[in-house]
Amino acid sequence: MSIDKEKDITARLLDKSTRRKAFEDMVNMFSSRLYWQIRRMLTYHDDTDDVLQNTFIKAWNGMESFRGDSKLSTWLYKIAYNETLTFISKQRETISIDGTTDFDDENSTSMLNTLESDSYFDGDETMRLLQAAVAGLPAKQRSVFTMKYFDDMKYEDIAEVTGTSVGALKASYHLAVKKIEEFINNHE
Amino acid sequence: MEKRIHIEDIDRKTPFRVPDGYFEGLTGRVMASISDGSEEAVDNGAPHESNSKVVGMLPRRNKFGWVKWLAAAACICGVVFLIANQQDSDETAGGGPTANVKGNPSVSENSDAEDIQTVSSTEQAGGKVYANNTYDLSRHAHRSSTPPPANITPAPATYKPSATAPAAKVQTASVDLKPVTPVRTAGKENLATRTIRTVTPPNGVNAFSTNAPKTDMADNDASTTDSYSQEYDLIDYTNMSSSEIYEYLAGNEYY
Repeated sequence: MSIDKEKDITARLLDKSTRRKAFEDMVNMFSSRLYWQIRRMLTYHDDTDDVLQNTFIKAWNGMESFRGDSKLSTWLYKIAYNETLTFISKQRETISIDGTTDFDDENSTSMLNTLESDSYFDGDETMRLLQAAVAGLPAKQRSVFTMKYFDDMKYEDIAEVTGTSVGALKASYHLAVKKIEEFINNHE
Repeated sequence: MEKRIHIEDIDRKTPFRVPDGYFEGLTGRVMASISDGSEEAVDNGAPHESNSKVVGMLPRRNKFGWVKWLAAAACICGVVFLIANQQDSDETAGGGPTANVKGNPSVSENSDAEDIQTVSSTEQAGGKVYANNTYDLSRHAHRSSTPPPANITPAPATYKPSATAPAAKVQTASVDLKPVTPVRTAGKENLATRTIRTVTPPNGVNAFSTNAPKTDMADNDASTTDSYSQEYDLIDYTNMSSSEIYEYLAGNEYY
């Protein structure tokens, strides 16, 4: 059902006469999924809101180059992924997908304390440790982990979004899991 | 026993909350922030051309990319120019056999202008002149037991090329091996006025006699290197005319 709706929106987006209405429908359809994808990366609602709006603006501005070759969801995920990395890089974090960048223990500890008083956080202690551990991962590795662990996306789809090989993604996810488990067990 | 937590054991739900009504107002805010010109009414159902400025996703071409290449070329030219200038200044700087002499500041550290003296009236002086080196009257005054003749006027310290003769080109021995054109005053038979400057032949072979006896100057310069002192070839100019002196020196490849 959602696939058919996605194809319908794609077809109307390619037609300039119906583009604006189709875009509005697209925002309604994908805003929640994109929001949580970004939120798991950035943790904070305000940051997520900024990146999400930038994502849709970029999508509208790039509508001329959209040919419909790839799925609309994949295309939007890709834009959201790049916008999130851009936002994180502006916060002066190093970006690495192979996990060679050291785990940012300082950022994780800071996140752990922040989540304790965050009114928009509803999880228990273990989930708080999990989110803090995720925040300590390098940006690209963090995105791979959240797409795989929380969204349960296929490695092929993640590879299409990130532009990375499936093998590298598997290795990155495996390393991320080890780092997170070590952080959680050290802080339990 | 400590129970180790595995990530598969953790609930995968997202523990974050969203402010109330956030998603309801999101679409309106996104559509409002989109820059477009198509919100005006469509006449008779005919769609308007969008006046919105389309910003491509492709990377923008740098219009001034050629500037960096121009700057790089200018830097390379500057470096080449500096290197060439440095080489030229090294070639024209003081050097030659006198520069190889150690321990004698008057010899090794003096400039070419100070070292080159105009040798005048050598026959009148009746003294010996080192044919293949410069003759410093000041040195002779200090080191030789024989005082210089009274009628010899010491040459000025600085070298001034003759106005009627081409200026001798002085070059370092180790770099430029072109012979030096002697300066002579035409028409005066018994007055050899020239500046003599010697250079080492290109193949490093010492064209001068290596068996020449050491001169007084060399003896007095205890720290003088052998190469400097052994390059002397003592010639008696007393009974030689200026043309003979010139021919002798030219024939012996002193120039």
